[in-house]
Amino acid sequence: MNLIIRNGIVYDPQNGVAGEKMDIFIENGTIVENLPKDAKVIDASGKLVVAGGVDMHTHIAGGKVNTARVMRPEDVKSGIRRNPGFRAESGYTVPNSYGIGYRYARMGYTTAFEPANPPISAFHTHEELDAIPMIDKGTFVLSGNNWNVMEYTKKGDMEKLAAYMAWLLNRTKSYGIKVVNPGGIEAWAYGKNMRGLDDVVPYFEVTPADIINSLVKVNEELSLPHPVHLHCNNLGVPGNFETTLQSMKLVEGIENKDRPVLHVTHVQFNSYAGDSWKTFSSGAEEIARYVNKVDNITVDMGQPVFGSATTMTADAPAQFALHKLTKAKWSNMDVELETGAGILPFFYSPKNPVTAVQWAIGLEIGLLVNPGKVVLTTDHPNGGPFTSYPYIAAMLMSRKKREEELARVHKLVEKATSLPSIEVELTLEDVILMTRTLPARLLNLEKKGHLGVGAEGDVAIYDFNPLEADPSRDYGVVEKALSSAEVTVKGGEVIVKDGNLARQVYGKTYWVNTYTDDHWSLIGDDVINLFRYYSLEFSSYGVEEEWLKASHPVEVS
Amino acid sequence: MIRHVFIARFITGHCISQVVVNMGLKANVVTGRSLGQGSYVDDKLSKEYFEAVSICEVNPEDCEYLSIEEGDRVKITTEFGSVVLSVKKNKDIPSGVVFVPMGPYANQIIDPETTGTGMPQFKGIDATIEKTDEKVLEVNELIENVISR
Amino acid sequence: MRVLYDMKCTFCGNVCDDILIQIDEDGVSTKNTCKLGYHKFLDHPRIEFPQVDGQKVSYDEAIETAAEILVNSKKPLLYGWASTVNEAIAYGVALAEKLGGVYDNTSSVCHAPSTLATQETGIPASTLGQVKNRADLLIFWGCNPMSAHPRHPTRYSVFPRGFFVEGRRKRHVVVVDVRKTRTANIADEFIQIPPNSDYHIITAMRMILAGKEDDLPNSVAGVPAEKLVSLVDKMRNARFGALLYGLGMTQSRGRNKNVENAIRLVQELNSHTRFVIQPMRGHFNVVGADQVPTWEVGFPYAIDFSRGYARFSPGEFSVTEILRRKDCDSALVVSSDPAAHLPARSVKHLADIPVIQIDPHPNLTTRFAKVVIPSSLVGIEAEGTVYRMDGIPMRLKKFKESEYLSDEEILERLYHKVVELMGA
Repeated sequence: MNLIIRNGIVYDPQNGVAGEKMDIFIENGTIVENLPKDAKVIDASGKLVVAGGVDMHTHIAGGKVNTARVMRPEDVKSGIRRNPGFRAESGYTVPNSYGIGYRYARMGYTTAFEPANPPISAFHTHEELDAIPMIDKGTFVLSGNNWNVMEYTKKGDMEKLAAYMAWLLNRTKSYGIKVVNPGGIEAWAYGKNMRGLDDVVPYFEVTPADIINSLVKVNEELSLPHPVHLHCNNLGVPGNFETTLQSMKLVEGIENKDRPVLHVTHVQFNSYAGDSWKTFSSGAEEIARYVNKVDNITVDMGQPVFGSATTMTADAPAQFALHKLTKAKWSNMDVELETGAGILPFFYSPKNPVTAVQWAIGLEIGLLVNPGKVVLTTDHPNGGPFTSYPYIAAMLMSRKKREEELARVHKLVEKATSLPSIEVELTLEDVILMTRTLPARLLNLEKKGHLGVGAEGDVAIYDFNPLEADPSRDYGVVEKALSSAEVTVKGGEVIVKDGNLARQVYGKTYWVNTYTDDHWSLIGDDVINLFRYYSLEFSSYGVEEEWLKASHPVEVS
Repeated sequence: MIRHVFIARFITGHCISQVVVNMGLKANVVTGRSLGQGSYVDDKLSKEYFEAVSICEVNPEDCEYLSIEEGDRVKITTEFGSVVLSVKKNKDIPSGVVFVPMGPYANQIIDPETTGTGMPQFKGIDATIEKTDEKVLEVNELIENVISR
Repeated sequence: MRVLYDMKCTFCGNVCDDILIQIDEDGVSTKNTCKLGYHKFLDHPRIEFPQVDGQKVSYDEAIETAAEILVNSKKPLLYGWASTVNEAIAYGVALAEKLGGVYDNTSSVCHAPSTLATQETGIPASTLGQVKNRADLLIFWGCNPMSAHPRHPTRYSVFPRGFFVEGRRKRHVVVVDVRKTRTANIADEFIQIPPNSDYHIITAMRMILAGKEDDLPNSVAGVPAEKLVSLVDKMRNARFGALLYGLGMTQSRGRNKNVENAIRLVQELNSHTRFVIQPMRGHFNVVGADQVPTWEVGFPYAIDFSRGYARFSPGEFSVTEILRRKDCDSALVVSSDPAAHLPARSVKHLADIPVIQIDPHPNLTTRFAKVVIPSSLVGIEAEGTVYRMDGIPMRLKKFKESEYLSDEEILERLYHKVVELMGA
């Protein structure tokens, strides 16, 4: 179907469009320059028109997400919704696959990436990604505690490490390299953790710094589309902002003209000052200052929102520490030779000093880091569900809204963070940048996140006039409108209309195909040798392209 | 008197009570997978499956008490039903416990109550075991009996 | 002659993936299987053709009759699923939602209490390779892998050479059970407990771990306290321990509470050392039968859709309860034999309602099913995805052509037929 989206007020930061009344033409799923034939007209007069949202970090598929659903029936029950003609939804922080797709679509998002794919169970991740309707998808492969990675790092053999990563991305049909608590999850297998970048991983005799350095190097060597996606050591520990700064400094001097070389994810959880929960305070200013200063690093917020959350991460030792702290129910999964996972429910209360300060730190990051370097996320569902993005956007754009919220939070926020004194109010354009342009650029998805000619026909129309409504003052109107797109178009198909599901579609799965037989000749023997210690045969490992519902390999030159 | 030695070993105040009755023996039934049951589970109408699941494993001392030999038949009765099975002696089964492979025979005597969990109690059911001359029903006859109840 | 390596066995939750299959004029022979796997690959009697009321019909006719039965039911029960592939299960869940029926799988008479326990406590687990590479202490509790998962000890737990644990001699193996099982014969230590005493004994062990052993009586449920003190000491002092448990916990008195207690014990042990707990799941894809509905609708089993969305309540919607209360008026049974494996009282109602059965082999449920639809054998004649007991996905290959439709194909057709009859 061809579409004309007429008279909308368009914001498209990538193409320098900010609040212009324009028509958007879509032909065969792609945005085109000229009026297409036989086009259906959508009247967007006086309404905001933007590219479909892109979420680059959201836990929506795989073993840990499903374990969370199993262990949290109370959460599953809380998000029930019937959708006549469509599948039912469930869950608040851990929606079912349909709920995930439908909610993203209703919010005007058309792309989402799962950032934690354990290689050995990669096909589980893909089975769940394939079950999510409406959006395009991709996943990053967990690599920071992988035995082969640590062995090659120890030997300093970057050629073999590059070959191995090319193979692993291919076998797991992943889009990028994810590093979680480098070395720490391996240490957790015997009950330890990494406390600093120079700690030594037991047996493997490498340090977290070594692992980050070598994977960043290899990421550049392979010209992968996405920077190394780093979840720093010491997550959730007071004083950890120093570890985060040290991790960032590791990539000093490494440049790539097309993109940053390091993405530090959900940085809120790694921007803590103080030396205990008693002296807990914000380290966000230091982090923001550093990120703003360099041009090879980006971050995403990992914003907590008040209410229920489900924490889930490969950072299993951090999760055990949280379990000891909160006594909440706790699941763990040690994944042989590769990684781990920990899952527990959490509650961000405005009255709890620690969670209130976490909330404030997230906003500090969002406000103090240059909008071209920070992506809006909750690290769904670690900080809360992705359906809170409009609330977060409203807070970033309105000091008045923040003051309203500050009135109900624990007063430690005033002492331990700078949030109350921050006057910055982001513009709507900034928020579009943080939710479309920047994440698409970080994923190097050239046809995503903007409305220029050649872009995919992913468009969201929101029912408010940005030329009339002032987000700073009318934050309620803006937040409500952003929460429910009037129309969402995915690949030229209208999937949401009048805020309701209109048509169920299935998106594609992006993955990076850079692997060649030459890579295998370098690493084949090593990989096969190590399989003696796996509990499955080599031939059972990995994901074939034809198993995916809609495979979309991205070639890298 | 020998019986009391075993009672003493298991005295717990809460779990099983093992009392000698006139006709038979009070025992505790545990059901579960056996190699034979699993091997023929895709062939349920076969002689092998029948032979694998229509048996019960009983401690030799309990057999002696009941005056039964390997291959003799016993009737196991619980609050929930009764079933006739062939006896296999097994010294690894403790006295006072009877093992029945999972399957249609075991299911005649297990506790169908799930106490809200959905799970019947397949293990640890109080029962009486006694010698019998009744025959062991074929699988078909057994199911026919259930259906026509 | 054709030789196939690394084929996967579709009997138990081990899903051994190193099976060698040799095909020649004499048929199929296998290597590397256990006794259960050996029998799995033998020829067994097949349901020869689709049937309605015992009469031979075509697949289309059988599927149409099945669809009509389901559509005309107030509340159909869709049960089984543990011995088929994820792709088929997904159609089953969609069917149950569309029909406003009930989805339940065989875990409800197997490890479902473990799920109930996990809802209360979570579960600290690992993949099997972690156990193989690191576990220097193994406790098999109420499970008997030598009979139920025969290659578990050799491949994953007791005997294999692991990266950090050299082999059998470096591992201490304990069996806790009500009877001296075949597994007890390969253990270093056998602790016999009376039936229905798991909860008490685990509670005592948690007391010991918490330093309250002086408050214990001399014996707990007939087991001398010092035996338990010594066991807890071993657990605390292991470098990496694994508690592998079975239906001895989930099917005896206490059920989910036994498991919950065991999980808490293991969680507490993690303050001293590393310890994991893992249910020994039975059928080769019973994990998939839980996992697929969980991502599709939010819950693993005992799911009712009569209100148009998923509700979970095992006391109402599990197969045993729903049949016992006569609360379903038809049943679709896929790759399972409830007539053989449910309490007699529940089987009775099943025999009184129209039953549609999809299965490769005749079984006790086939005897009274109104519609019988033969399917091909997954992992032999049909492909698809299954999850091993620790959740590792495994893709099954086929090595034989078959004239039968696969479960997935049958259910796909059935789904579309139902949609056609009901309207979108």
